[in-house]
Amino acid sequence: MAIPLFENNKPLLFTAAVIFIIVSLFIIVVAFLLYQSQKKDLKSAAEQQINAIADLKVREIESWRKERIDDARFIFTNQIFAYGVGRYLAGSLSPGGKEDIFSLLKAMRESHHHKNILLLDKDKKVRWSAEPPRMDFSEIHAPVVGEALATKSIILSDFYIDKKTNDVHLTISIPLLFSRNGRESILGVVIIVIDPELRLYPAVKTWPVPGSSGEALIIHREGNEVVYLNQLRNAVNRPMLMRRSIDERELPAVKAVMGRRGIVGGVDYRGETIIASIRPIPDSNWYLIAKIDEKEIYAPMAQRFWIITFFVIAIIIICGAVITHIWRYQESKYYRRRMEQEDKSKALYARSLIEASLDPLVTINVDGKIMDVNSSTELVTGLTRTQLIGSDFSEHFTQPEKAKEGYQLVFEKGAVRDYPLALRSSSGQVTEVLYNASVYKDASGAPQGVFAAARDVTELRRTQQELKKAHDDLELRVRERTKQLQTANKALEAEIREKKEAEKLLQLRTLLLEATNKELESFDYSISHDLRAPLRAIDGYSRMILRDQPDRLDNEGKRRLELIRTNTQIMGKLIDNLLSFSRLVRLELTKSRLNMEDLINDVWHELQIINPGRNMFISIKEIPAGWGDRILVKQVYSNLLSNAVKYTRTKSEALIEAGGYTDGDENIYYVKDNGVGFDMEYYDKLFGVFQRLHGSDDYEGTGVGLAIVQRIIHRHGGRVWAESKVDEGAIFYFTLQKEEKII
Amino acid sequence: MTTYPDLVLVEDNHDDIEMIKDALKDTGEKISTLVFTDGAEAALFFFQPDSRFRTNNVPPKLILLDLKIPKINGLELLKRLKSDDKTRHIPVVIFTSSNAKSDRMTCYQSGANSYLIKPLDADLFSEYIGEIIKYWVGMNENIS
Repeated sequence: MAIPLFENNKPLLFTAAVIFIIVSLFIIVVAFLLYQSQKKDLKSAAEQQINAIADLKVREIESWRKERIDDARFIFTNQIFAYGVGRYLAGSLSPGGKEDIFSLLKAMRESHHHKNILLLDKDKKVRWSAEPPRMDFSEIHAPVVGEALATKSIILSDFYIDKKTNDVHLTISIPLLFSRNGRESILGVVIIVIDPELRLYPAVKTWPVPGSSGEALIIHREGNEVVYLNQLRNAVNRPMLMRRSIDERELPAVKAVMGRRGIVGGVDYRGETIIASIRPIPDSNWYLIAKIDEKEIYAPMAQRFWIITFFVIAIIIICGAVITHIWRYQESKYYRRRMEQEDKSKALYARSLIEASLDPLVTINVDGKIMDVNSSTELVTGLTRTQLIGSDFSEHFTQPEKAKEGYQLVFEKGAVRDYPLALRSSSGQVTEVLYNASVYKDASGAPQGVFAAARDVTELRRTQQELKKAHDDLELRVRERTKQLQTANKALEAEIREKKEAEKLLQLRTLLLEATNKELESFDYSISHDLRAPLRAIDGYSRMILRDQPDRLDNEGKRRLELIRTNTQIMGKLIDNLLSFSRLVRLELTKSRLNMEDLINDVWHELQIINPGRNMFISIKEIPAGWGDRILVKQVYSNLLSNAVKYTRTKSEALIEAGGYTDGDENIYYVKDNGVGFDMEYYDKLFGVFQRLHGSDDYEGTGVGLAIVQRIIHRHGGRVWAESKVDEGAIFYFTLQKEEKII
Repeated sequence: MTTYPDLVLVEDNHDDIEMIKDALKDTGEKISTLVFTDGAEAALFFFQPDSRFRTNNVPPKLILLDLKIPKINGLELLKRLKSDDKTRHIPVVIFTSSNAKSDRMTCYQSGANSYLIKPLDADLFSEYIGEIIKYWVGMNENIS
């Protein structure tokens, strides 16, 4: 019996692994998104910060510029000062006047720590200077001064390098205008040389928040270059007023001069990736760039990355543990359930084994009471299960005491085998049995009772007796048979001797037959040659006489010569037929399965060609397959059907029928026609060689056709016969054996 | 000048020889014929180095050969004719009474140009000879 398997619901390790992988992936994705959003937060915070710083710096630079312009405007708008300067330049100013003018300029210089203040006349000649003027002064300042004179407005110059000291300066050029009677005249220019190191650079340089890479730059464009106007925080060894090509598109300075504003990313002059904020400085061609390294912005991310990674790993491990736990739990639950089901089916299996037993099986408790029985026990005792259970085991036997002894013996020894007893049924029938029993114990090993199986030996006893009788009989028969065999053996030996002699005879005969066959072959050959040659000659000479000497013959003579010729032709045909008939004797038969309908159709087709214009019909009825030599059987049909066609010539319509049926171990075939038929009185001549039942004048032929049919069928081991009445047609029958089994 | 034969006939049956000659007459053409009544005679004519055929080197237009002839049989003679450079190209028509399939096959395989069975009917016999002459001798004339 097959124990059912509970394949369904088994938790698969694969499923658990898939769930674990999905959960893990989900956690990793969430962590990644969290990481990205933090990074973005940091970036936007940094952007806000540099924007704010940029704004601050712009304001500072603006206010610095405004102060400078305001200073300049003070001089620019001071008509008294202008008047004094005019007088000074004309050489007509008093020493007190001079004192007034120059002390103003000196005070201005000192209060703002300007590098120098110079006074130029309108021909750009230095007329006064707080510090000794530089030799290349006018070279440097000429363009700015020119512009100030031309536009009559205050011009703040760009940064420039004093090549001697390598300092960076700016200048403010203030044109001095004097108006009198509505007429304005240019007197000269005051130039203030400003040192940006004092206030501007420190204002730009200071970074209001902690950090190592934050930096503000002032730049402007000169031709195809950007110029860094301030001191660079990280360009210790770089020249002042560093220049870079505007082809370096990644530089934020280039981006600034190309028109970008606000936050940009890029690579700064050091090659570092940075984020910058760009602002134009109002009223100037300067741009302010506040920038910070990306590295610095994202510095906190490294730590966060490790924290996130740690948490991700921790969560994945926890998930793994939880999934493993659930899977184990499911698995154990499944196995538990499966075991329970298996236990149940094992119990059922055991019970059905017990019930299937033909032997009566019982369990007896230690007191000798029956606890359980199978259906065989019910059958043999004639009592029902409920009657049996609880009854005393021994009371069902002819010898209760012996039965008791029997099961006590089991408790002592653990088991007994083939203990002979006799069961008595409720109807009093006694059954001889052999008891086999063993103790069964509980889990602790304490005997619970006896499991006993009785085997009905009535049948066994009877069989043993019968067997003995049969054995005795057999011995007797063997003895008799041996005697018979000895006699038969002797007879067989004699027979074998005879057979050997017969074989020798047969060999001799075969040799003879072969010899005869050879002779017959040469006989055929001589017939065809030696019989034909004279015939040919007779015909030939007859022809010559008829042709060459017709005058010497009267009509009768000619007619008789023609008859000679006709007869030689008939003789020739007879020889041909005789030859083909005699060949039939020797031909080897090559038998095969034949489709008779096909054979008949072939023959009929040929006959239709030979007999054009004949009104003739064939119907082929049911016909079994034949077993024979194809060529010869076809010859049979050829002869029979051409006879049928020939002898129906006088009828308006030739109706021919062919068919066959099976009879025992042979097939019977027939060909039927509605022709002239024949007289059954001459039946015995029908199949003879050169025998004719009709005159050759009426029906051509040599009288060999049916003889050939008979010879062929006899060679196939069959029979030929015919039935007819004059003018009522004829039926020809022949038989062939059914298909031979090829071994 | 010696006349060279158009036809060499190898045939032992005198009746057949007469019939063949009669049939040749029927064709209305003058066909010079050389007759050998056994294979050995024919072989001498074709293969002996100082024979008329060898020295003159003018081949007949056709050899009409029977199979069943004395001394050297027709098949043997056919094989020798078809393996000799001087005679190989001469057409050989087998004219015999044997209708055995094996004979026909062997002759064609040995190089026979045609194989005809002597008919029993004298009219047919004459017709056959006429056809043979018309085809083989006539054709050769056209070529030369």
